[in-house]
Amino acid sequence: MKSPINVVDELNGMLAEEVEAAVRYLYLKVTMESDNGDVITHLQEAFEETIEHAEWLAAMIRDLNGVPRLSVRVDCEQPPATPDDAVHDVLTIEEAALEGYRELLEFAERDGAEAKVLEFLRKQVELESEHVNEFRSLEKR
Amino acid sequence: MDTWKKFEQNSITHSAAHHLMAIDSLMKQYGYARVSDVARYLEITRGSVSLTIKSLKSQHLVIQDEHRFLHLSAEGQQIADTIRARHALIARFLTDVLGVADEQADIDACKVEHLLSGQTSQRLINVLRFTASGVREASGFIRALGDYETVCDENVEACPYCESECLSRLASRPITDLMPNPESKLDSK
Repeated sequence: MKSPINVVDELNGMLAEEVEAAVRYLYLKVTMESDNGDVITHLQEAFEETIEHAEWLAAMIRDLNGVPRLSVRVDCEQPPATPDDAVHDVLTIEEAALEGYRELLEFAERDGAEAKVLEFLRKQVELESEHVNEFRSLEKR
Repeated sequence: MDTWKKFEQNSITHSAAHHLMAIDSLMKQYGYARVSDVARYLEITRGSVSLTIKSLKSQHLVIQDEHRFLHLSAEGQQIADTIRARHALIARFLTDVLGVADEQADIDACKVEHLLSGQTSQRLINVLRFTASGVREASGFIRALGDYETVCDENVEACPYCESECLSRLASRPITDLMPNPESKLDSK
């Protein structure tokens, strides 16, 4: 029997995932040359959406009477060699976030978490799936 | 002296080394390791782990199967084993020979475990084996070393190692003590 999860702690973990991702997307974007306009646009959108996800997470944590806590560690010292590398990095990060939300949803369902938490996590899984598909199609071009 | 620059280009970063060791530990403990397990083990995000794993996969040190389970390649396993062994060696040297406390020895061993050369590791083994050999001179050496610790009188002229200043006094200070105090900077404004 697995021990029940602490939803607020887990959501704070996802908050760190989102904020770290946003910083990485911003870094990838600022290292791109201006002639990679298409990739830059996607990175900008990914950055903005990721910040939005972080805000939703913080709101959900507060709604559960928790305190948003942020512990992040980001080293961005190696610029991507090509735009394709940048897209591949984003895809890697988005897949990790999707996996994180899926795992959290699974645990929350198992533990009978509040309906609003389950609804929030299902929505996040849906959105992250869309992001993953978007960057997969960008990678294939 | 450009050696420090070469640390930065080390084929395996400190962080990557810990990812390899985390996969190895999880495999030994649970029989499997996924990105989320490594993230929990190292207390970092999945995104960060995924990016490092991506790099380790491209170096053929980590293999991810179709179920997304992580495995070390033969080379990855060798690196994890080597770094773990060097960590143990350095920690034993620091505690058994230099008399450093266990916790500090573990911290310092962690800092250099992935950078130590094979040659130095081998000499460390020799030193440890010698000190544990039961040879009279070896136990005498350890005893004498312990006794000598308080003898330094900061007499630079009489010391064969000191240059213009006492190396013992300079080197034993924690570097954090030397950092400027931001509050005192504010005060001086």
